[in-house]
Amino acid sequence: MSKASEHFLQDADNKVFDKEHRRKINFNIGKYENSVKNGTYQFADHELARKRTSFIKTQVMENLDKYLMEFENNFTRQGGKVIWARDANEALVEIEKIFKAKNAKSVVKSKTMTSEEIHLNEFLEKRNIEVVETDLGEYIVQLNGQKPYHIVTPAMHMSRQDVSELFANKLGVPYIEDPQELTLIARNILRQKYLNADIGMTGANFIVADVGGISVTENEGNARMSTTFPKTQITVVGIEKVIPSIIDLALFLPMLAHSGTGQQITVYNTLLTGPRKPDETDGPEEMYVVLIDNGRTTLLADLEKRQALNCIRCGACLNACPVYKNIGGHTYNTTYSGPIGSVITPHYRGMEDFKHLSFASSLCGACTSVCPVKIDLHNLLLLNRKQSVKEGLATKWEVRGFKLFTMAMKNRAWMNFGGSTLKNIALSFLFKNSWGKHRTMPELAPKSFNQQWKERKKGK
Amino acid sequence: MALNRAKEEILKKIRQALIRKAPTQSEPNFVSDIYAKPDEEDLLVMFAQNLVKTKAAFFYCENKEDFTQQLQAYSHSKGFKHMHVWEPTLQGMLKEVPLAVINNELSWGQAQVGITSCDYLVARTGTILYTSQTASGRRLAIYPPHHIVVAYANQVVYDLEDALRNLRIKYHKNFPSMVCLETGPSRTADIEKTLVLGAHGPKELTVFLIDDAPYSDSSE
Repeated sequence: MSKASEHFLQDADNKVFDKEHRRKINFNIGKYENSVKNGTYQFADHELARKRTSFIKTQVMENLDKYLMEFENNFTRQGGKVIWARDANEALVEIEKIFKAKNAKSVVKSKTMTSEEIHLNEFLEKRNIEVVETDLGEYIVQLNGQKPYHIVTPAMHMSRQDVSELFANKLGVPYIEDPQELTLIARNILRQKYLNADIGMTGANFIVADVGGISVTENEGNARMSTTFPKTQITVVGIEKVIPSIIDLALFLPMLAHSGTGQQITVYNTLLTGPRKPDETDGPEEMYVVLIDNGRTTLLADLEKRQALNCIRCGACLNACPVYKNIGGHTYNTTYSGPIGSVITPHYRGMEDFKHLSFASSLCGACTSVCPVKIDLHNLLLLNRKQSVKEGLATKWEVRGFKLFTMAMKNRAWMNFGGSTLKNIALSFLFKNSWGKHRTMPELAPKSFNQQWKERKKGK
Repeated sequence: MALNRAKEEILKKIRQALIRKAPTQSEPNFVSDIYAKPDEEDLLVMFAQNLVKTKAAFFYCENKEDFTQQLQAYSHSKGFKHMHVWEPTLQGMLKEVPLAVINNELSWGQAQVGITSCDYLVARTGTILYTSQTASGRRLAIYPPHHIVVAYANQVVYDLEDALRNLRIKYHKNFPSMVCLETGPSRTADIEKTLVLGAHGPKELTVFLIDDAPYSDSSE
């Protein structure tokens, strides 16, 4: 068993029985579910909308090179600069070059999971650069020295009391439990940060090929601020985030909003196509887009699982997942948690270390049913399991256990041999590792169906 | 262009990966409307209804005169002091009005209100579309705690798709560096999913919609 998977089991064990954790998550996800339900009324045919998004994203993946080139050509013509990075390290090196060239000492960041993926904050902080997360949820988890708990709602695991305590401790403000007041405190602190930061960083929800821009979705206005005041803007984004046209935003923005928060559309959807133009009054002087591969082309090469790249990171599959709701976001110990995280992480970071996530699923299919781009998530989890077995990554016990089980099942004499007591003992030993300590093995009936059949026939 | 190793390698990997093609999907219906048909048919009214749902305020103005009067009354009731107006067309409209507006960018950091124009209003979602190409730039609509939008009835379109199609035609020669779709005041629900208005952007958003005067824009 890999270290990652051992940790996972331990953390999951702790979280599942943590009633306070469960209360907070159920409360938050319950509110989310209500909003999504209410938001469904805007659609006459949500299923058709999903078919459209799925179709468009699949077409993009089948022509990804062309769309990326189209984006680069358009964006460059408008004065932007594109940087290609094969992996996390290359992205960090390139970003550091920009910081050095600008002699930058501080950065304001709006929410970007891609920067979490490359561990950008730690990298910059080690180089004495002040990194400030500006999304309220991100700001809270950053103050708390944590990673985001959820890809859309980073501080979902914290109650208002937790946040009040954190602010009182870290910011020296009086303890107040009112979310309004807490938000105001962060607002006032961060307003100064936007104005003084050397660099503004964002992620991107979409790369829009035909206008050569990136689209950023947010409710708070922190991404708008981060891309207005600092002289340099850097956007980090995975290569799979492309959509062909600005017109496609009319479909994707409401779909993302609805699945992400239940809103009809998010408050700010900002399309950025380059640095300030000569005839414009403000905006950054330079804009960089760092296109990151970091394992995505590996997943693209896997025809059966390629569709996982269609993901628009709405977070709906996390909220729907019974496993996520029980073990919580941090237990995954990956940038992308929940079903989509379990699907893609083994391909980005190694099957051996992360295959356990594909097994931590009941395969109920709730994720698949809510996905706004129709990714067949639970079947992809099964395909990951299959791949891990094929690559010889299953444990010796499991492989042998199933071989012996198959042997017994295929042989009538073996199946009828020994009666149920003996078989129960054999089975419980065979699968003692994979069955887990919290479940009791189902008991076999005293007599097998085959035996009963024979006996009843005789009795006639 | 200088050889870019990373780019070449990524593109090469993509092309290699795509030698195996996904099975062709049948194209879904892209014609029929995926959205529920709204009860209201008048786009202006539909916009107002949906805007108010996002917790923004709406003022209907019969004409320019009506607008300036309503703006004055609104400003007095709110006790606005630092109202910034940077776009020449709007400055012209407010020139004769006894309202203390600030026409320059000095002291913009103290601005209480930013008054701007916009390009389109989207009826179905209550969205305002504006760009960085006006004198208001990127700043004036996002930094002051109160954003006031002045718009005309003929800027209202049904859906986002209409707004984006129009936008692409309008700016086909000189596309703005920023296009923003704004739907309601800034908000967050990051603490216990409790809605708080005014996270980082404006706490209040108000639209004054003028019904008679046709919208004209110097950039067109």
